[in-house]
Amino acid sequence: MAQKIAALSDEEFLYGYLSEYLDETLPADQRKRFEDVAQRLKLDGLATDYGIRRGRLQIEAQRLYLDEKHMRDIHDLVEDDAARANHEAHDIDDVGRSELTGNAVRFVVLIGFLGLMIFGAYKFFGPEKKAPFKALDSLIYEAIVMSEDTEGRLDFPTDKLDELNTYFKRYPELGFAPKTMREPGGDWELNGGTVIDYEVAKIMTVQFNGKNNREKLYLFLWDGKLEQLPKSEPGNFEGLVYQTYASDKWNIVAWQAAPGVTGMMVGHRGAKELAELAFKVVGL
Amino acid sequence: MAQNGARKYDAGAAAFFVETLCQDADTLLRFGFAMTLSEEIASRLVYKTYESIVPSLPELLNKDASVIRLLILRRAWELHHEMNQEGSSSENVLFPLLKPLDLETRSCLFLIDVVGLSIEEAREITKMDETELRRYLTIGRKRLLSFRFE
Repeated sequence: MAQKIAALSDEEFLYGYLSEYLDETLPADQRKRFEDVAQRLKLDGLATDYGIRRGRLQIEAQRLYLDEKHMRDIHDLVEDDAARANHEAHDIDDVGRSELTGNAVRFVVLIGFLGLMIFGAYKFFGPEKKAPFKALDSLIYEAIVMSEDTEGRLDFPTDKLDELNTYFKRYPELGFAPKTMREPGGDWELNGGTVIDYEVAKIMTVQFNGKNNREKLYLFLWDGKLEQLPKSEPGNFEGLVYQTYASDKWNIVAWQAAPGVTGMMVGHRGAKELAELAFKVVGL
Repeated sequence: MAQNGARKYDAGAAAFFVETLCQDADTLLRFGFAMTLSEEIASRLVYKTYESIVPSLPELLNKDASVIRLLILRRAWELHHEMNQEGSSSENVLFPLLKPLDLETRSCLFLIDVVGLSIEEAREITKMDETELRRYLTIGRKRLLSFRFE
């Protein structure tokens, strides 16, 4: 390895090993060299910027996927006539359904006025409908707000995880049984927790701070299913299957923390590192 | 694109192809886009890649999923060099990011930073030496860091 690195200029070493540095797979001596070079070239924030940009690149790449027709063409490479006949039957069903849809549309138009009247009456006299809980947007927003005003947003500030575990276990009507959390270790220390009440769901929220800097890391858990989030390419950290997302400043991993309980880790580290932290704190 | 007529693969092999090998189709499309800069050409490349590995299907049945994935990506890399087709325009937001980069840089960037392969795995596909591959990564990552997404 040393020979390979020696052939690279300092700048090539810095950019060429960014992913290993971010994912903490660089040996200690190379990690130190990486940090020395970054400091010398005044690129201290490079790894963080790269983590965010890599997340964005991954998100944009995930928008590319094969449509059903192309996928079926590939399946047809091996499918026999019977299997293909099933597909064709399925297509015929689709055509039949579209005919039915046409008839249904006419029917819907006829009863439309009646429906509108009922809907209008419901809107006017009925109970107010609860807004849907958009976890991804809402919790990124919460992370941003909490990072700007930490003390004012934490109902239970503490550096003792046992206390926080007890706080969540005793919290009334959380909507799910919270798992006992473990220390993340490494660069992180507990700052406290709170429960965000969205009416439609209560969000168990934990904040960790960087020990040596002002970096923030957020863990959110709520009563929900991972499938309710936008589809994203899955990753896997030692059995913890997660989905990755990114905003301009934050990386996000989400996973099914328990049956009916969704977890989300929001921070500035790369997706793999966030998944590792999720694994350490919440487990499988 | 698909051909008619009876196929010669038993239900187990066909199911393995559809349920296991085809799991990598989207990953392959993304890598294909990085190489070809066109969704349409990349779709054709994905089809041709699967078409080319179908005759080897019985040999793949007992192979590990990660080995199969590398094999498919490697085959796509080879086929792209045979087809040598590249798009000149695309609506995709990644097009302006990738267009100024050469094929090797685009491929290394995607294999490592999008597909998530290790350097060793990426070397198996591209047959580059490590220093060369890291230099391409340097160029690609500098471009990524300076690029403003719309």
